[in-house]
Amino acid sequence: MIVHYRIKTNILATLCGLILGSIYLFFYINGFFGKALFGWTFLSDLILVFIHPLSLLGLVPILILVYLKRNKNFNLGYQDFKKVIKGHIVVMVISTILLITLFLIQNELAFIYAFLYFFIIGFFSSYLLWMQIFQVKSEIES
Amino acid sequence: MLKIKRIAIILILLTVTVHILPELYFFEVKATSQSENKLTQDEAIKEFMSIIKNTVQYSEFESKINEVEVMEYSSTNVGDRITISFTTDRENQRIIFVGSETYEILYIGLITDGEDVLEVFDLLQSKKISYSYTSLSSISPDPNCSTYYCTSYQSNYVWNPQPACSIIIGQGCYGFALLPGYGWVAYAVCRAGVFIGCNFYTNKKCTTGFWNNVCPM
Repeated sequence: MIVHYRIKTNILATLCGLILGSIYLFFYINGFFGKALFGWTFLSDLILVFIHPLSLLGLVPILILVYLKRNKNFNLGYQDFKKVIKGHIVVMVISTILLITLFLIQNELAFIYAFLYFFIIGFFSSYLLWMQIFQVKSEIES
Repeated sequence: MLKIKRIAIILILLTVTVHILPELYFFEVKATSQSENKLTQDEAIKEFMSIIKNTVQYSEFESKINEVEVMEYSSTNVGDRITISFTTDRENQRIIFVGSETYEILYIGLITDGEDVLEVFDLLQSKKISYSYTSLSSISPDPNCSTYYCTSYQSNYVWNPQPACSIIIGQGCYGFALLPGYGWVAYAVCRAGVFIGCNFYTNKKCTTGFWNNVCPM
């Protein structure tokens, strides 16, 4: 069992996912995989979707609900490290299969969804690292 | 095993939210803007289809016809035209029917995409014309004709920002945020997926075709 700071782990894993996704976007936009269908406005438009008042209006009550439900343990994640590794590998393998399938069916669309794929890979692979870095050692001892 | 099942269910839900719902949104928008006009066009196509089915040429090819490939109603400078194209059991072969707005059959053609040439057999006039692919683009249309018949299309994706679609359909992603453990990332992936699904639409681009003696097709 590994006890870790959930917020820090999630934020940094998300950043890692975004960095990996952005690296992919850099290659995609610069035409390494054929003609790019969009430019860097893709990222700004995507961010706008997340911070749009309508999106926040629905998300804030949900976050409050989750916070109230977990109460004091909101920031503390208790996870079995071996199970986490297995789960993450399953997610990454399924994502890879889905992307390969999409590539075989419609490669143009696959190159677009590949941004999400690299985000998922970046998130789930770095999550394990951040979990270990932000584990609460004193909690385990007690 | 339970974990894999749970992941599979989440991924299926993600796929549905990300891909199918935006498609429905576009269908809805398209349907609302063209509903009145489309209804009459659909009726005309349906009527023309029933007429086609009574033709000798259709009966002759009925056993070989696989499926409807194109159903098109277009307005041209010499009146409205209805085009219905069927694929046949022979690869690269199709049969097309062109009719007027009064459901008069103007043209029935059997088109075969050969290796080097495009063979067009006019079933009404029993006339066969072969076009080499290189010459197709240089064939000049009849001065009275203004339309070009496309025999093959290529689908490509076009970037078309639809902020309203991303935000409205994306509301369905809130459920993922409630998931224990990785709710946030499932929510983010769902939102981003909806964003991608909403901002791209497929556009058919004509790659091969020909000008026909029927004016217009």
